[in-house]
Amino acid sequence: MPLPDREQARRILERALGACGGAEARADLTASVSALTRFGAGAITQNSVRENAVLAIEVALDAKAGSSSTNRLDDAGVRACAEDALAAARLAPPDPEHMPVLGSETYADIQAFVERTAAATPQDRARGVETAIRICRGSKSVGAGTFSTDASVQAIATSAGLFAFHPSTEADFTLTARTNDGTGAAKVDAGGVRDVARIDPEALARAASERANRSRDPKPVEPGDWTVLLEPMAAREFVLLLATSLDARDAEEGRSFFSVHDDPDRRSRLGERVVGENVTFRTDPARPDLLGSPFDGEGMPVRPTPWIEKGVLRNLSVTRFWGKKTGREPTPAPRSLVLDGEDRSRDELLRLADRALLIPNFWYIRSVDPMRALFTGLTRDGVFLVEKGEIVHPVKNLRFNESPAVLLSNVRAFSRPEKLGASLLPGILAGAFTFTAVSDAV
Amino acid sequence: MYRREFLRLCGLSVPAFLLAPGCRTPSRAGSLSPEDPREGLADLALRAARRSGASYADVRICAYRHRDVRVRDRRVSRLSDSSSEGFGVRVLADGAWGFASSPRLEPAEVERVAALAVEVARASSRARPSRVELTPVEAFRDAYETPHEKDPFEVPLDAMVDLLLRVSERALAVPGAKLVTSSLSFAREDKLFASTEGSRIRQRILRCAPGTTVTAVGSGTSKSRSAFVPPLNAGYEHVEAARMVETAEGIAREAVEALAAAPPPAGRYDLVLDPSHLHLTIHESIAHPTELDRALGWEADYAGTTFATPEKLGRLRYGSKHVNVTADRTLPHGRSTCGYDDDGVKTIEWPIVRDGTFVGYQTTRETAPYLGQRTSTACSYADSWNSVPFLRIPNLHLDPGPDSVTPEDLLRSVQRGILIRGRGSYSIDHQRYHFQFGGDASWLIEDGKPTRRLRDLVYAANTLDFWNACDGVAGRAFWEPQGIVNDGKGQPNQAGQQTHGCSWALFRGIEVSPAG
Repeated sequence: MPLPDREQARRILERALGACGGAEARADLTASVSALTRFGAGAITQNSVRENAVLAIEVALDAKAGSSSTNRLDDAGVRACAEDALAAARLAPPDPEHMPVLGSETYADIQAFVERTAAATPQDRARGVETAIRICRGSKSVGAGTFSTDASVQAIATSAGLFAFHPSTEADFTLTARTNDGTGAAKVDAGGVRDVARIDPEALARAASERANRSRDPKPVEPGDWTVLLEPMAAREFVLLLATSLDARDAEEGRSFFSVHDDPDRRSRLGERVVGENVTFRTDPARPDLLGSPFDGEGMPVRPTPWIEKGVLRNLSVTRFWGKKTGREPTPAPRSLVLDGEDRSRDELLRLADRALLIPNFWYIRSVDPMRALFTGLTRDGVFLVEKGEIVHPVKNLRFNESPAVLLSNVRAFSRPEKLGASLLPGILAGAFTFTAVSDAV
Repeated sequence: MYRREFLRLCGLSVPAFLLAPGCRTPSRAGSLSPEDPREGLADLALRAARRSGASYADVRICAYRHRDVRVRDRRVSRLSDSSSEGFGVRVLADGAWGFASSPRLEPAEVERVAALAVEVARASSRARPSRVELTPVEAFRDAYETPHEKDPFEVPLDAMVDLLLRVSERALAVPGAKLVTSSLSFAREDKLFASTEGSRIRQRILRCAPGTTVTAVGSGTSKSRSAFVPPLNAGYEHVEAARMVETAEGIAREAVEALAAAPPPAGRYDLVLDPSHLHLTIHESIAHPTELDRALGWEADYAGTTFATPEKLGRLRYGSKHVNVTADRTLPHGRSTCGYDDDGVKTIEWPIVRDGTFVGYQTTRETAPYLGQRTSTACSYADSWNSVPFLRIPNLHLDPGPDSVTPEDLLRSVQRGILIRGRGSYSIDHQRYHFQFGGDASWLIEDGKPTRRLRDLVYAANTLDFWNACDGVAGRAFWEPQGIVNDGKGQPNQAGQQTHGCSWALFRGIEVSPAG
């Protein structure tokens, strides 16, 4: 099933808006061809090519809103979808927070579609997986992971004249190598690149299996406050949690880490230093090493936005309703996030550590107290003790109870940012990270 | 006084039509028509797969409908219907799996996708040292439909909106309650399964999930409390029996009360856990560890592996003598209940833990042979026509204790402990050894009675230590079919759904600490 091009997408969306009978409406089209080869215990266990295209219509009748979605894109399917949305809107009470759909907007030109990725075959992926499995087997470990290549199109149109269209591709390779004796493990992630040619399964498998072997027979260390060296994968899992608190309404209604409770003249901590002054955290979708979407789900342009600059909270996301109510410009929610780093490699960062725990990844992180942005979770995939810039020995996994705001207040150094999914994250060397228990998991 | 309170809260979420384990209602297929026009397309897919060289093929042709109604305070924040239809073809060729799917239910597309699935399978065989072997299965021609009284898609939307707005009014009338969100989510899943082994199975699953959460905001803090009406496979009668409006005030009051509470001092406490909390502990620390694909290392890259490895089957002391755990995809109204799994295997009930000993895994046609077993426990599930079926947790419950045991009896046996209800923060490691869990409402127990409210606490334990510390389970009158609607597993992630019924239970000497 070929993906719709710009004009085909426009025609589908115009049909959808037309079926709404002139009502105020927004129509979204998301089409994708997603291929994924999955392997475990040294063999391919699932292998799929999945295609779909979903049309969603949101309609408003005098501020009464209803929505519907379908993947039937023939005339009858589109009409039925519009009728369902209209029927819901007729029954809905007026929405006091309703905002009219957006009109025409201008977007950054972000070229995130690589034909080579879209054209990758099952044989291409199987070859990469076969190589990775063979390398793991040769180094006394067992590989499990995925090799995926996706192509997708996102398009939005409104009855007020907006049209947005963004095609993109993404290829990823993840691999967890576990040693045959079950005492060592390591994970690599190619980061979700646009161009499949940038993925080297052989190099990734060598890195994972070598590191898994180095992590064998971990020793326990005492929980407590430790200096940690978070690799970018761990930084992604933990630091990005702070982005979930960057909402103006939550803060101003007293439900967030960025709320102010002791000063009636301030609605939030905007302008306040909230983390260390060496921390800058921003949205930057057009960076060549990121290539994010130029618009959000409503069709609002996603522009470079500093959230935290030199430790100071500069922006909170503002919905269009909240912006109107409080007299501010709307700001789309955080996406395409970049945590600024420093110009040094991961190895150079490690050499700065006097005594630290090297953390490659976290697992099962959950909120404990949203008001303090406090989370719990565990380390995973091979933790090491580092002394005087050298790895000393592997360490058993640990549970933490900690806040990303505390981590970002204690940063001593960063490495260069690396792409992981929709974000760019550096390695982070930071002090006083609180671990509360040891886990026997490997 | 407390007995009346907790009986009220027990009763609020469990409609009378629900039955504890051991009771059964027959399934039925009343509204499914005897003829299904999709069967022609299914036959076409299977023939095309065979022609391309598949040694086995199955096809699922599905049509889903979802309805979502949400209210935030006095505002309808979402009123949405969605539908999705399509088909997925799964094949074995050259001893390896291939899967392809498409939303276009047209003969030429069905043949193209079936051939593509075979091409994918042939590529898989490059990295498949041993051939996939499946347990034998009978060929079924059957139909199943979730027993229900009122199809939720035939209930007027305005009745649903009105109900949720009344929930908000009742909750917001409690001083200190600042934010009320309530929701009704429904799904109707029509599925035709056909395989080259001769099965033609039609199923209609109806799902129903009501929910209410109230957030209270105080000086420098906020606390939320949820009414835990179990998500079930049922009709709208489940919503009508849930008494959402009547219970909203109590939920709001408990959220506000928590603002003035304090965490307990760190230490070891006896814990009494109610079903609205304990079901998630069961899910994380018993259901996940006993998935056989996890034990085989197939999920190592994401969900993880397990401490419950096959050589421990029949030997491992998982819990105390009070701990009996049963898996059951035939449980009336269970979230994972259906007639047949997505391998085309008839669903069953089987033991996981008996008198504390680990005796059973969850299996599929592909995984069961690794235990030398000739039958699958029917745990194959795909969350969409567009998803690859694989092993998912079934309904899995803690059997009730003796009928004579009440929650009051459990509380009476505690000198210094904590009663925990509702879901809070849940986290467990990727081999399921160590966990840290919390609820959304808790009380100190002193000399056999709940006394003052507590807040901001978590308990942590090793899974086996915890279940071996179980010192009593209340009887079937207190058993509730609580459950999960968004269990994440797989790459890409698929949402599993299952019921984890349980009664109140007592655990001795568990480590508790203030959260953070």
